Amino acid sequence: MYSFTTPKPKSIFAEDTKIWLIFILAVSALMVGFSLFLLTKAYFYHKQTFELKEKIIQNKANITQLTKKKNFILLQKELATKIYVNNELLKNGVKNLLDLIPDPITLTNIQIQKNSLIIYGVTPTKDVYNTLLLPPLESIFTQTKTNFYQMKNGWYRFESINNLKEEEQ
Amino acid sequence: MSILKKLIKINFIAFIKDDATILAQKVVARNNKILHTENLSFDDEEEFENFIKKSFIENTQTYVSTTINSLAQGCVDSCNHSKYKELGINIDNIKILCIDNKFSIFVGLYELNKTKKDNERFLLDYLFSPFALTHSFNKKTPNSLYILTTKMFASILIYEQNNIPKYSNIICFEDLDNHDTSAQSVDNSADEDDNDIEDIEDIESIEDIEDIEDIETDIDTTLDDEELQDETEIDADKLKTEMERTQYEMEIVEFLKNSLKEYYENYSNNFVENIYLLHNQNISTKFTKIIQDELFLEIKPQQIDLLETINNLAIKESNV
Repeated sequence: MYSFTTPKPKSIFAEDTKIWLIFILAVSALMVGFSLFLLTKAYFYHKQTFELKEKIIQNKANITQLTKKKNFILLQKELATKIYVNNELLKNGVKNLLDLIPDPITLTNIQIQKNSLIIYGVTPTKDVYNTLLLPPLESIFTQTKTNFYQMKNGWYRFESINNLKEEEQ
Repeated sequence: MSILKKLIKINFIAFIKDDATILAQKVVARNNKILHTENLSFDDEEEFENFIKKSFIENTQTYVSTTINSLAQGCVDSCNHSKYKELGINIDNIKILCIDNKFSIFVGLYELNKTKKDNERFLLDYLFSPFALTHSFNKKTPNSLYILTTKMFASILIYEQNNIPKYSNIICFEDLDNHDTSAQSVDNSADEDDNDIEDIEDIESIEDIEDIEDIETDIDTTLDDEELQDETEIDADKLKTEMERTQYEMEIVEFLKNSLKEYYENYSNNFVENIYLLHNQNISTKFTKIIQDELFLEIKPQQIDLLETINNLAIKESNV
């Protein structure tokens, strides 16, 4: 320390340089901030994309499951329709069958199966049966077999077994 | 900041006022290495002020330094304030600089503030005492006297066994009318005025002074001759300069004698063995011979660059 005075504090940069530096630093800070903002956004977008991709995979799995369910339901529906149609057909068949039964003949039991129809009943005579009931049955079924059992009063119990051929189904 | 300072260029401008002219030296340094030195001269203060401002615009790291030319300063061989009290110096009115915890340099507060105010327009950073400049030439030889002579001042430092200045004195040539006061400086004593008068009388008896008187007579004779009037005017100017120079040299001889006398009487009994005459202007061999004849001591003249010395101190202070 040889000086009686202390030097004034001196800035390394001139005033105009300072302004430029502040401006450059501010712009740099803004650019860094903006790039950070973009990076953050990109990160979140990336994260969101990943999540969406996962959702897509999940949804695809759900769609497969739902398609399976839908197919099953459609199958069920088809089955139900089939059953309904069959029932309708059966109902119509029964109705038609009952329409076929002539007045002198009385039915006691009817067994309807997939390819066969077994009818139990009472007829005054075999001729009544053979003329009034047998022809329509023969026209519907491929094979018709009838068994008669005479009752005490002279009437006949009958058992009519009617079958359809397998090929026709 | 310090790392940056090592990388950037720093300007150091040292200046001294030489009558109306301002002499300056601009040094460009970086990391303790001087890159460029330029010596400049300015006709007026305004021109110098503009130069300083321009330098500041070019480089904010510009340090301006000068010396304080005042009689109210000195050196004390201690940093302890009690030493000042012993010497009868009121520490309330001075600013003290402790150098290496060994000795101190002081200056009067009034003079310091005045110098600061006078140089305010030059954006002054460092203000060095002539003693600090003189001390920078210390060769660490015992019993040595160093006298730094410039156009504005002459300062003396005497070192005894150690490298601590034992005695200091200063004379300013700006104020030659008050020379008696200046010669007393800080180490004044009641008997000094009488001694000074006696010394002046001694000097007047020197042959060289007689020669000057002869010259003055010659001038008068020449002036009577009208034909040689122009030549006479030139000669008169030359002689006037010579006279001023001789007067200056005599002042220094007187100052040196008084200082040594005071040193022997009041400070030490050790004989001064070496006298180093530090000067920043060409001195005549006649002048050296006068001192040698007067003091019976060999004078070792050393030409120095005062502005360079100031700048070197400023570089040291700035720790670049």
